Amino acid sequence: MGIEVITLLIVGGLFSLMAIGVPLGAATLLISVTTALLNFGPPGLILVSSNVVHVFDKYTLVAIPFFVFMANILERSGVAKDLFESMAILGGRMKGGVAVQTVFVSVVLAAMSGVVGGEIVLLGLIALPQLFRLGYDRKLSIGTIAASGSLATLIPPSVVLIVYGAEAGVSIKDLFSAGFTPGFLLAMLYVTYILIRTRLNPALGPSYDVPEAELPFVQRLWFLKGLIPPFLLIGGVLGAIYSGIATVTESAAIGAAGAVVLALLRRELTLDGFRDSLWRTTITTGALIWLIVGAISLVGIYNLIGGTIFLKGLLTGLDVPPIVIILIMMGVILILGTFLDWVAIVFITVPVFAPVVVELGYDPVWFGTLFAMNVQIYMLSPPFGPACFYLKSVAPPDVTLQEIFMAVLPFIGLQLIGLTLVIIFPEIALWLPNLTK
Amino acid sequence: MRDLFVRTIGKLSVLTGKACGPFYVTAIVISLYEVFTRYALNAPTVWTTEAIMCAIGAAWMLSVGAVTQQNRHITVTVLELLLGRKVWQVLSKVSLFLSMLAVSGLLWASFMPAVHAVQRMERSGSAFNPPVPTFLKVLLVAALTMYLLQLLARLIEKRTSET
Repeated sequence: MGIEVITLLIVGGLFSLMAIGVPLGAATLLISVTTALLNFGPPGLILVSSNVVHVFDKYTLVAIPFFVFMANILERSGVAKDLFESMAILGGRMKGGVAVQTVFVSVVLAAMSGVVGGEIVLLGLIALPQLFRLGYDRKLSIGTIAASGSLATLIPPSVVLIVYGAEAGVSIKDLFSAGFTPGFLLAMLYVTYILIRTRLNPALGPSYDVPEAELPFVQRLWFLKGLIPPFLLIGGVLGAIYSGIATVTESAAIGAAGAVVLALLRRELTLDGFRDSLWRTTITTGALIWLIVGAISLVGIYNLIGGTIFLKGLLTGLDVPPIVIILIMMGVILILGTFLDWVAIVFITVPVFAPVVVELGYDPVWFGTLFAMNVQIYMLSPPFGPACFYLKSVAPPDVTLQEIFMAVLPFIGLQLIGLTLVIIFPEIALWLPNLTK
Repeated sequence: MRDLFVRTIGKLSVLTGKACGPFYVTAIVISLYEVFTRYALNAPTVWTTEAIMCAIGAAWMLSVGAVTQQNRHITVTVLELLLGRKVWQVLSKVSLFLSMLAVSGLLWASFMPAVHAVQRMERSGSAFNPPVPTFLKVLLVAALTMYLLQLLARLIEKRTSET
């Protein structure tokens, strides 16, 4: 049987298993066990097992539970709520101001958290009720929260970038630097969009109504105090990474400890809360790791039967300009994103794509940024966009999934503009890592 | 009897899941200690990276029972809406069975390497040279056994809840 047929069988098998509800980790594991048995007989299984063991000594991935724990601790503290309230007051009586501030709050939250789910849930609980109460346009509010809540995939410390870096063998520090500017660019695109919409139709974005918002600007500056704790924490983590004092993993540990100290100082951390945060960290990270186990085993065995070389040949054999190949890869990632989880996408595509990217003369750090931007589009896209489901889980009951998916459409457009800009001008991503090199 | 099995395995999974928390805390504390000794005392250690990896690797493996018990493995459930609850109930049993097949395959394949590792006491080969590979391989067998038992418990639970 040729590798073409095997590849089709693998894709078909994976798709059917997933469709009937086999968890992704088990589905990929079953396919790899079967492929190994058919190709190498029982000894093939030993190969699968030896790949799997190495998932558990990947030191780069250790940063993930630390960052997840940090986010879990912060989520149960009032840091985010204080941040949102101070920022909303800073915006004053500006039309659409609260939505604009929501974007800025999201950027700060994204810099404290590497995972999208928690941030969207927080914004859905804190910002959405306020926006609705003030009479903001429903779609504009929902779209703003889902889109800016997804910025955590791009803004350091992003778990997507950590997983990509571990798999592509690229410096996570560089990936973090590269993700920053495109993340900020997307945030600015969202802000511009909100401002244009609310200038054209001020009824879409009423101004904030608390008395503090009426204060003159200089007095409102006092409310910058809500920004101090998050900035200390972000500064601590990023400072430790970029000053070279600590590795990414150690900085994640500093962040986790910092979050605990902050929550203790605010008297918002109980022993039960601490235990519950650990439990959530265990479950979230465990689910992620056991998906990685399946994906790694599948990729390992597929590589052994010559699949990776076959796919690389397919890509590099195309008689098209290199940039078209990059676009094809983006297309593949987007298509996979309609039915696979992002973790599986990283482990399935990166072993094939990353060497091709380097061969074509592109920077794998730049590609990592594009990858993370793609994951962000996937977060919002129907029919599975996880961001939309997270928001649905905490939104008022009258907000339907259809309404959310309609609301995010303009923001997906903005994300595509951002992605195009970074493809055309790689410097948007690369100037910062090149500066620190 | 069946009920007892389901409950015992469920409790065991949750218990080991809860036990993972202290491993994470330990790893965080060791990381901070390493940064501290390196900069404040100017004395980097040789053992912290491997100790952290052991703690985290153990937590990752041992959490599998809890993740399965809580039904939190990452799954695409969109067909549930299309096919309706009844068909999905049948499919979820099929998918539990298929998961068990996959895990059994990996368990079978991991058993002999673990035995060999213990016999030869495989070490990591670093300056500190702890028997990390042996530790991880043995723990993997334990974790996969738990995974398999918990999948079986869920399958039994589904069957009995219907009758």
